[in-house]
Amino acid sequence: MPSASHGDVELSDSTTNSSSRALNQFLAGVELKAFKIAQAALRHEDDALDAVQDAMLQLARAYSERPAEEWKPLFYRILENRIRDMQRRRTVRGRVISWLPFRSEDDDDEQDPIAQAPSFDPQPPRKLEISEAMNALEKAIETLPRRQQQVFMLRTLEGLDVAQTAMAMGCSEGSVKTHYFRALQSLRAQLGEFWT
Amino acid sequence: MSPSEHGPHTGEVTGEFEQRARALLEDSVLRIDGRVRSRLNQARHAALEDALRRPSLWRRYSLMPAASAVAAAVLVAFVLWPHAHQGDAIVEGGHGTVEDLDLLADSDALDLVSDETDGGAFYEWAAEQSDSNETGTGA
Repeated sequence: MPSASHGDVELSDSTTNSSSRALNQFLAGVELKAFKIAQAALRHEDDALDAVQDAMLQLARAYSERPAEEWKPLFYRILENRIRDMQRRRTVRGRVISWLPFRSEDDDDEQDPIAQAPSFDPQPPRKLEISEAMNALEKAIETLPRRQQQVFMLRTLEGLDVAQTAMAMGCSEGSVKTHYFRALQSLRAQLGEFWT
Repeated sequence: MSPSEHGPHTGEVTGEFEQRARALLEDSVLRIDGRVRSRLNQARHAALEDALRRPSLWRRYSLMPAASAVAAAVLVAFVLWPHAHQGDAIVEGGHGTVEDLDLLADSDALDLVSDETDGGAFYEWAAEQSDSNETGTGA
């Protein structure tokens, strides 16, 4: 929470203060889940962070005075738009790079070899089991079509209801139900061996 | 499993599969590392500070009707102001025009002007009237 004496910002107004506090509380409550959703879609940590940051900024700038009940679907709507923009930009960039004759291996995203190295930290069997199940789930989610992935994450992780999900995705409630049903079918088919 | 057993049709995530998935995803959220948490924290503070510095679009848009009304009033004033004076001129000029029209329409006046038998007696009479008025007032 920014301090009251920060720069030329005047926080003496109690309404502004309470509104800012409520927004801070809301953003703190959604930021981690939003990051996971963005990461599942973009498969890149820094891009996911950028997307969440942009969504926070946009919500705070444009919709902070809207009723707090509207914030969650609005926030995820903004986040989804941002993710889509980044995916489009990435596609265009990929096409351009694929046409460049002087492309080298250095153009690919550099990966930290230390981060990629297997961990030698011994894990208890239960923890390992959870970790494997989680990895399998995350990989299965990544294979879903974008809309199915989106609806699954919003419904399952964020806990939005059908109406809120429809608002966040900018589609009908019927669409949400259909995408969610297909996502579940697909995930069940992929994860059967892990989850039975 | 029939569609009716699925969450989307009841509005809630109720199935065992969904609950397990949710538990795993929530666990993965808890495992997010410190670097990411720190960056998200910074991003949140930056967003809140930005929101406090500038009025929101919502507030700006709420002032739009008043601003539009003022702009429209100024525009109307600028557009109509010259016409208002022109209108006065037309009315003034119009008064003279109406008098001319009355004279032209007055058949007696035309008779006086074109009376050949009178040989311009009307003008002589009018000139005399004018002179006598001047001497009368002078005396």
